[in-house]
Amino acid sequence: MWHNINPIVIREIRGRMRSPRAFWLLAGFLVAVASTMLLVYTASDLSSSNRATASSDSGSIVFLTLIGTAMLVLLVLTTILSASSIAGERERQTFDLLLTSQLSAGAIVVGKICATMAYGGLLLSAMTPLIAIPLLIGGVDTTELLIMYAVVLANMGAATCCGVYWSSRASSPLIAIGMSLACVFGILVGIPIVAFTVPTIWQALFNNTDILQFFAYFVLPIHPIATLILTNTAIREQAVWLTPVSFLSGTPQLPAMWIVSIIESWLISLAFIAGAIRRLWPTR
Amino acid sequence: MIAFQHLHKQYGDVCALGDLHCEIPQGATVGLIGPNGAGKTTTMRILTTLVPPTSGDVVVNGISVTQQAHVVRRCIGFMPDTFGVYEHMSAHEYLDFYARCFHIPAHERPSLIDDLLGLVDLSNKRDSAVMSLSRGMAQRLSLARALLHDPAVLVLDEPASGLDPRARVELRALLHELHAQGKTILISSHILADLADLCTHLIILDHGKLIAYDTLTALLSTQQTRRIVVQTTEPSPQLRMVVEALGYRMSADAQLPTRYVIHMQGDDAAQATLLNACIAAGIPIHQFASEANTLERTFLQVTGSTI
Repeated sequence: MWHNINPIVIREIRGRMRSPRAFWLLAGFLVAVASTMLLVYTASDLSSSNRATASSDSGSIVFLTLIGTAMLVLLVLTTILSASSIAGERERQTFDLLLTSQLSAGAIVVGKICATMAYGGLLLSAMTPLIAIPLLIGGVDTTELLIMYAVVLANMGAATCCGVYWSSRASSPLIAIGMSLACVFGILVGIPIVAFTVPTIWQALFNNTDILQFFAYFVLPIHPIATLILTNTAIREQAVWLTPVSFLSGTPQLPAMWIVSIIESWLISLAFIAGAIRRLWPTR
Repeated sequence: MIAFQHLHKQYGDVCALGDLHCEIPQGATVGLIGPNGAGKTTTMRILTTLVPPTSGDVVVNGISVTQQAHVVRRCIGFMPDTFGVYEHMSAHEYLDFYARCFHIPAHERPSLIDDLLGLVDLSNKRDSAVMSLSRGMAQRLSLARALLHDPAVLVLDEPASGLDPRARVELRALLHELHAQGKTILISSHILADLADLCTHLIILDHGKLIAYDTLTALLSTQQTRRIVVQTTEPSPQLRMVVEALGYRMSADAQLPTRYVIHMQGDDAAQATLLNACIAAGIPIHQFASEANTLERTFLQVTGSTI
């Protein structure tokens, strides 16, 4: 089985893990996530007046903070790593050798994505001991944990694909990293702006918010942190799989926001993959 | 066989290659020479499917580069002028990675890699980091990489650039061996002495145009001017008069006043006439030798340049 794995995945993982940078990245990631968790736990513990409900609330808040911080760090890390992948090959002057091999454009693009995702997955699994803490405190169950992991992985995948897409277009890793981070931060900052300004203007003009809920149902899941917070709220309200959305005169039950987020992340990823393959296609 | 069919490549307003049309026979070692910007690298990049031509085509063993690039890549081994390295990789892992890229079955890879490392004399560097190899070793490893899938055609872009004399000799010996194995080899190089030793055919390009294409022997024989080196026992002003009387040109060596170089047009009979005229004039000649035709002079003559 090992022999049939895309050679680019093996080479990238091997090269990355042999570099001392891999250790420092892992250590930095865990320190950042653990420090944030400790700060939030201390603040949550000090501000709780009722000791009976404090434990489960703290558990939930610590878990959300942990996943949120990990998500942000992973989005930035995987974007940077993937953005320097193909552009880095060009800079090292090894890209022509790949293009003259029997690898297809799809295999090159997918190999780069899988290698970055594998490293992101390693970082995510390395924080398992930290995740165990809110589980022990309480207020979080396994379903929520799995759902949040799925959302993180889907969004990390979209960020990776975005990085690889810009990497296939840019002449240098620096440009690719700049463009990819601009896209990721554009979503992180742009979606809240759109989500708050459009409804206000719409309501002022038409005095009707029904269609806006429908709009928010599709737009907000693109934002990874908003998805985590809203999913956490929905799970606490026992709306794990379906969520009611006011639309015109009815309130249909539609798939939960985290499901929409994962589907949208997949669609965005596919669009970036197609763009990257198309970019390499003329020479393939 | 490689057939360049009216190949044309345009980069914006710049014509990098204009109507290149020639056929390279199977098993030939062809030197691709020309000044900088002549279109050598463009020709190689089109042949190796890295860039598509604006018009025209290249057919490699009956397969079109523009129509079936994926199939053409199977029969071409490319060695670029730069040796791109991946960090933290040994020579064996480097070859193994590219062997996987060429879908070489797992059970064949270990012996194939060992054989190739032996061929390029790098068996003792099997587990050495690629980054630690000298330029010459890196070039040999790059050649081994180009041979992984046993291609019928080898395309080598400046293989000897930056190599020390020993490494150049070793590389030349290796290329002779590959030629003997029946590989068709296309080499671009500025080191014409190496090409004269290696090549059976030459393609001379200038400003994207094909200036000359023929066998090395035929190209060398088209050289019109002979250089005769004459050495006398003492400085001889009479020699100039004799040479100019026959309509030839002569230059004296500034550092050695008894050494003269005569540039003449004509065959062996004309050369004999010149020698007889010198003897008849009583010039104290102790050496009279015609310099062998060199690729450098042929190149300069064909491209219309002078030294």
